[in-house]
Amino acid sequence: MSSSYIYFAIILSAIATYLPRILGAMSSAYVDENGKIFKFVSCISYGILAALISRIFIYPVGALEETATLSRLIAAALTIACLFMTRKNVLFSSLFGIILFGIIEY
Amino acid sequence: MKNTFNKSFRQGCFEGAGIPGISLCASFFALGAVFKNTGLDAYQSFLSTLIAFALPGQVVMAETLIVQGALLNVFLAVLLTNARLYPMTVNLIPVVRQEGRPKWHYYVLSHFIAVTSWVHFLANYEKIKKEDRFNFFLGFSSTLWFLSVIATVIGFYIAGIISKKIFIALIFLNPIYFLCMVVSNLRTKHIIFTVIFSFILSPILFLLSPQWSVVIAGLVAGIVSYLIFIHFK
Repeated sequence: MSSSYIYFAIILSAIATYLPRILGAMSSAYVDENGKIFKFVSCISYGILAALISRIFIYPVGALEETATLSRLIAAALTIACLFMTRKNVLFSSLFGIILFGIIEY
Repeated sequence: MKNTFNKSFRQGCFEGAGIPGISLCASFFALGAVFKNTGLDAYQSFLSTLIAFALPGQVVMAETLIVQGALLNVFLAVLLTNARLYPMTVNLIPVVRQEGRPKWHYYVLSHFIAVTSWVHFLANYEKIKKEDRFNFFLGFSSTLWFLSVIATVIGFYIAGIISKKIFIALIFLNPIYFLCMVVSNLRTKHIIFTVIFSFILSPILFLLSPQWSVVIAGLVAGIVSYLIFIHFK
């Protein structure tokens, strides 16, 4: 794989990444913060984000693939419990989550 | 423009350097290591996060390069992976919109919209005055971008030095943080239903179509939730 090939791949990736962003910025001109379209787009965005999180926890790619699915799910479930017990303290709960995951996994 | 880099911008920078920045840095640190294993050099790793700032798309690019994929494959795979940025941007820009601000400012701002900045900002924007939101988000998200670029390069250089167990725990921080942010932001019925439905649907669809599962699950859950809780209400 030549160096110029990698640079082309990076530039094409940048275009493929910026395209949905700029199209989104252009389309947003027709969206009102209090309108129904805004709520519709919120539903879609949260749906895609939840699907992405679910996929990372259940079918991850990369280094997380080497860890047990059960460990990831237990850590996730107890992190959510911790989040509610700490009145939605995201910082504490996130740290709790990775420490717990480390303990379960190793 | 001269009023953009004001107190709200600095507050955004400060907030970005906190837990959202730490969480994102952990993932980009890991990405630097992935790039090194893929065969990219430090400049290429730096450039990738600088101009194509969206972690899942960058991972897909690296994976496609590993299997010697054609450039068209790289483009389409990254486009599909990053399709989620379209509704996120449509959703975020109306919240930060300011009267009189030129359109190109929003086009520049859109480069910094990614999952971490989106989820964190939408969970907290109501506390920020409407006229301060653009500057705050610009400071917040550009700080995340800047830290991610640095973390990618550091990850590239020190890949292999730190223990693999710590490395994996660091990677886990970002999804855990996303999870906490999404759960802490569940306030309305339509969003609660969307998130739970999509969370269940996504792994089922993954078995049928790994590449499309995230987009389809998000669309189906979002549309069903909208119809039930808003349209036919």
